[in-house]
Formats: sequence, structure tokens, C-alpha cells
Amino acid sequence: MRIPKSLIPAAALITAIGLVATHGVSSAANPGITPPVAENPSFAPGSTMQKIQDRGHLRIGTRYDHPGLSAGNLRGQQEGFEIDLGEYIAGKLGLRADQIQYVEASSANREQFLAQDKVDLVMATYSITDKRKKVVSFAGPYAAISLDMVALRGNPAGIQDPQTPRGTRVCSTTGGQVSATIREEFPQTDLIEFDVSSKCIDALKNGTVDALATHGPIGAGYVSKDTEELEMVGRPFYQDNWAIGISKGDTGFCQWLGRTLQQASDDGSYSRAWDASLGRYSKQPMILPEPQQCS
Amino acid sequence: MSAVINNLPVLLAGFGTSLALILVSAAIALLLGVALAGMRVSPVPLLQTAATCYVECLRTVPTAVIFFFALFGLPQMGVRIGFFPAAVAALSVYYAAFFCEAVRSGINSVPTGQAEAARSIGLEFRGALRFVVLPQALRSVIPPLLNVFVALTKSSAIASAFGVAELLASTTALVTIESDAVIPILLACSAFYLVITIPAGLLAERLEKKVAVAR
Amino acid sequence: MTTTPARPATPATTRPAPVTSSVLFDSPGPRGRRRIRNGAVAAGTVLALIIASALFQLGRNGVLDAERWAVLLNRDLARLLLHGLWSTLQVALVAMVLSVAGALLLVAARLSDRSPLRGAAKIWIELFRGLPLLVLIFMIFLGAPAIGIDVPTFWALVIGITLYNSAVICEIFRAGIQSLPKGQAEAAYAIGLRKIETQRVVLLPQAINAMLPALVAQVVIILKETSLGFVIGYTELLREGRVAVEYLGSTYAIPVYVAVAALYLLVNLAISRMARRLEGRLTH
Repeated sequence: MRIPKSLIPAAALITAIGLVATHGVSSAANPGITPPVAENPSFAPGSTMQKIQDRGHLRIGTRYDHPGLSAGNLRGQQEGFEIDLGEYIAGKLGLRADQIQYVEASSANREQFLAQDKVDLVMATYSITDKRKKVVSFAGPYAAISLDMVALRGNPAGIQDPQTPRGTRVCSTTGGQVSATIREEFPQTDLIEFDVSSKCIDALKNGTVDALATHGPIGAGYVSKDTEELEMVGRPFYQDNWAIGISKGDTGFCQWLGRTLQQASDDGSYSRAWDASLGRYSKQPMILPEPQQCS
Repeated sequence: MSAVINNLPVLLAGFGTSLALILVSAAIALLLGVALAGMRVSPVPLLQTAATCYVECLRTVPTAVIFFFALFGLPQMGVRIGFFPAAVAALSVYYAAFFCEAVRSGINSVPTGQAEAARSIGLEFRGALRFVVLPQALRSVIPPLLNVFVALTKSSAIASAFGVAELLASTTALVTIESDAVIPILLACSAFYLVITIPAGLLAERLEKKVAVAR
Repeated sequence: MTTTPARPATPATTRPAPVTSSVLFDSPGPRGRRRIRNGAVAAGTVLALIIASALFQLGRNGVLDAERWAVLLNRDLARLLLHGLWSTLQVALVAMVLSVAGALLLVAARLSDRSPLRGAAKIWIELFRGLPLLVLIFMIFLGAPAIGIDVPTFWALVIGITLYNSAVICEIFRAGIQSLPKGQAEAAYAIGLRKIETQRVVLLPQAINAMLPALVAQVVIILKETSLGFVIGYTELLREGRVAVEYLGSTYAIPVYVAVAALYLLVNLAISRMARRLEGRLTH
């Protein structure tokens, strides 16, 4: 243990990592689609679109832990289906992808973020419900999905739905639509909640819970990362819609977002974004649902 | 203030979980730590080296890293235990290294002359330890052990980020619901921790002074 | 896994010789040597068994496959880890400087002649030494927005670490000052220095010299504490590791976390060796 040698291991390791950083193999990042950026689009004075354009960046509240929908990649960027749609919207506002600021939103704080004007819009697997409509407005929806469950590979517990077999410990997120639905439709369920879905996945692996109840695409994203340990139960049990959350009563912004989503669908960006992300695992095409009335 | 009183059951439940986590982990860590300290002063070089490596490696790594290993490493080894046992495992394995050093410093604080005298009246290694060194070491070992216990208590809060519904976890959950009573709830949570850490810390200080006077 | 050489490390203590194992037993004779050898063999077998069974379990679950560890040759992962290490070091440096500054203020209050100030400092130190760092970080991260101040994650982390460590370092200073011979302060007063000058010119420089090893050792502790940033989403080393694992899938959890742990381990070992070296230099 002679002293001058003490610095060698640390220096050697950092140098090794540095060498890998410059000469290592590149990872297959999945940039998704690169939507066009509109040249100086013009909007009605005083509209939210105008405000965002003048500010020069768009603030999106989203998840950081939904693979294929919205999650960080190794290059320190966000990627996934929701991110691609967000970039498409930014492009229509004349903003590049690097002019988007992402803020991590959880099931429990999405309404707060919109009320406190911390974000311009929320794209974070946000289901439309009557209760939420009282505090936020929804644009879209941009995806129609159903609920399903993720279990350990081979479904050792023989799970059919959240309360069958009896005593199945089901995990979902605090304050989310999935928990509310399960409480209503499957009152016998033994429900355990965490703030984010990724903790449910940890709980599933370490034996704390038997299944994660979630929206199909979210589950598919987790399973795609971990086919050795996880699988989808594959018994959809509830229909739902994801929409873009915006501040309550901003009808102009809501209608503009609806039109923008329709454009994305018409010019093929919508289905390209799906095919480049979750579509690779789910084998089902995603079609833009019928728009809802802005309120 | 009313938010704190209304949610007191939630905080108390969290505090109960915290206490269980702290006490179980401290007990296991202390046992492991004493075993490690025994290895470090034993005449067998292999044991010395193994224990030294263990202590050196763990003391330089953040507690949270050990939590990640307990959470992801164990399932990969086919061990499926819940969040609470995984947190106990992480805290015990981590603080064993610190308890080991506390015990060793206690043994080291006994003047050499004591051991030499014990040897000179013909006591063996075991006898010298048992009748002369350890009884004296025990007195001076309690303050450092208490300090490690305080550190463990504070580290137990990290379990909140690893799925254990302990005090800090229930606090952060409450904060999201009661967004207009954030400060009182955080203060209440702090009070619970201070109830453990301040008395233990002061006791350690008092005992330290006492031992110093006794010498 | 480890950087310690095969021969046992002797603890670098500088106090008058403590009880070391060598005092507790004679140099072993033939029978003793045999006993030690048997003990060593038995202990070695037990250790080897524990390690082997862990490796067997890992191997059976494919954790030792070369393909999994090849992920460490990924350019983007390496960049992510280096970026994380850099962020970690940034927090640690800023927090260390601020902690020392805060500790100087506290130690001045702690040793002042005004008893209310002394009492206030004592209470302050007890409070911030007694709270979990994670609670302090949440206080700033969640509590500040509640009173209308928005604190970025970097500063929430730095301020939390500073509140805690300034209290700890203050006690290090105080112990250092009080360990100086009384004559130092008396001589300073004798040549007509006022209290503040005595502290600044005579006592502190000597105390800092005596305390330097403890201060350097505190850097290791601060570096470890920065890892709590992952809880509030500050992208330091551990958080980058977690992001990588979530992106790559948990199949790669163990290789990635081993790399993260190795970074902390080697950087901190280097720092604590430096602290020991200082200790060797300063105590004659």
C-alpha cells in the first residue's frame, strides 16, 4: 500500500471509461421520427401558441420511466411515442426538438403542474376522466388503449384479472386512473400503490406483488426491456383514452392541438412514430381515435 | 397544523416501520460488525485481509448503491424477498463495516500495557481478550457504537426511495396530497427523527466524557 | 473487485501504540502455527464456499455471461457515467467549499463570549446533525416551493449537504481548536490580540493544520452523500446508472451498478489514502 500508487486505480478506471467513451461501440439509439419544423408559423395574438412561440421553448410534463412511450435513453435524451408526438407539436409551433423542456410528471402531480403553470401541456399516459375534466382540459385523445397486467414470466400465479385468483397482490400508481378503475370494477383486489410504475416492476421482481395493472402499451414497454423475466397477462379489461392535458378552459389551444394531431395522422407521422417505438413490440397498429369536444 | 394532526396516524405508521427497520438492521449489523472486528484482530492473515477488504470496500461506496444491489442483485440471484427485507439486508451489510471499525477503535483504545500485563501473567490470547482487554474496551466502545447507530437511523430514510413505506415515504406521500401544509408535515417528520438521534447523540457525548475521566 | 493487496493492511494510527493483535499472542510455535494454518484453511473454505455459491447462483441466472458485461464497452453508457461522475464532483466541490465557510461561522458562534449565541449555535448543530440528509434535501426541494421559491435540484442537493456538513465540520474545527495547548491563546492575549484576532491569526491556522486529514476524510463522506441526488432527479452518477438500467433493461443491472460502485470506490479510496498521507506528514 505505498502512497503514490493509491491514485493509480482510480485514474486507470476513469481513463478506461474515457477510452470506451471515445472508441466504444455505439448503442442502437432509437431517435424515432424527426418531424419538420415550421418556418415562422403565425398565430392569433394572445393565444397560448403565440406565447410559447415568443418564449422560444415548449414545456412538456411527461414520464421518465415508460419505455417506448417516454423514457430517457443512454444519450441523455427523452425518447418514445409520446416524445415523438411532442416533437411534432413543437415543430408546428416553429420549435426544434432541443427547444423542448421536459419536466418529470407523476400520476399524482399532473393536475398541480398545469394549475401552477409549470408546464404548457402534459403528455404522460393521461386518461380522460370526468373528475379530471373539472380541473384540466383535454386535447385529443391521441391513443385508445385498454388496461392489462404484467406478471412474472410464465404467469406462475395464474392471474386472470385483478381479483382472480383471490388474494392476488396487484400493483399500480398512486392517483392514477388504473387504481381508480380497479377499485370500482374489481373491489376485491388487494391493491398496492407506488408513485411510479417502475417501482411496481421492482416489486414484481422481488416478490412484493404478483402483478402490475397498467395500460397495455406501458406494460408492453416494460416487457420489451425484460423478456426473460416478465410477460403480459394479455387479458385486456377496460377501455381508456390518453389525451394531452392543458390548463382548464384554454379552448383555442385545445382545438389547435386537436388539429395538429389530425395532421400528424394524415401525413403519416403518427403511425411512423408508433411503428418506430412501441409498435415494434405490440404488433398492433395504433389509429388516432375520434377527437373529443374541447371544453 | 391541523393537517399534521389529521394525518398523525399515517406518520405514526411510517415511524413504526422506520423503528422496525432501524432496530432489526442495527441488531444484525452489530453482530456482523463484531464478527468482522474479531476477524481483523485474529492471528489468521487470511481472515484479517478478508475483513479489511470488506470494510474498506463498503465504507467508500454510498449507501444507496448497496440498496440498488439489494434490490436488483438479489432477484437476479433467484432470491425474491420483499422491499423491507431487502432494505434490512442493505443497511445491515453496509453498517456492519462501520460497527466493525467502532469495535476495533474500542479495542485499540485500551493501552498496550494492559495487554502486555495480561500476557505476562500467562493469559492466553483468548484469556487476555476476555478478562483484560474486552471489559475495558466495552466501556470505550459504547460511544462510537451509538454514533454508528445514529448514522444508521439517518440512513434508514433512504429506504423510502426503495419501496419501503417508512417515515419519509409516508411524509412525501402526504406532501403530494396536502400541498398547502408542506412545511408543517416536513417539520413533524423531522421531529420524529430527532426524537431518536438527538438523545442518542447526547448520550454518546456524555459517555465519552465519562470514559475520558475514568482513564 | 478490490484494490487492497493480498497482505493485511496495518491501520495507520498515530496514537501511542494501541493494542494490536501482535501483543495479544506470541509468535506462534510449531503447534500454534499448525493451529493457525488449520484455522486459516477452515475460514478460507467457508469464505470460498460463500463466494462460490453466490457466483453459482449468479451464473445460473446468466449474470456472468460475457454478453451482459459487454454492455460496459458501450460508448454512450461510458459517456453517461462520466457525465454523472462530473456532476457528482461538481456538487461535492461546491458543497465542500460552502460547508467549510458555514462551519467557520458556526465555530465563531460556538466559541463566542455571548452565551445566547453559543446556545443558538449548539441547538443549530444538534438539529442539523440529527436529521437524515434526505429529509433536509426534501425540506429544500419540497418546502421551498411551498413558500414560493423554486430551487433547482442542483442547489437543493448542495444546500442540503451544506447544512448537514457545516455542522459536522464545525465540530471538527472545535475539537481542533480545543486540542491546542492553552498557552497558545494565552500568549496571543498577552501580546494584546483581541479574541477574534487570536482565533483568526493564532488558533485557526494551527487547528486547520491539525484537522486537514479529518477535512479530507469529510470529502469522501460528501462524495457519498451526493448520491442522494438520484431521489430528487439530479442526474449524478447513481441516477445516470439507474437511467441506463431502465433503458437497457434490468438484465444489465449488475454490470452497470458494479461499474458505478467501482467508480465511487476507487475515487474515494484515492481520497482517503491522500488523507492518510497528510496525517503521516503533519504528525511528527
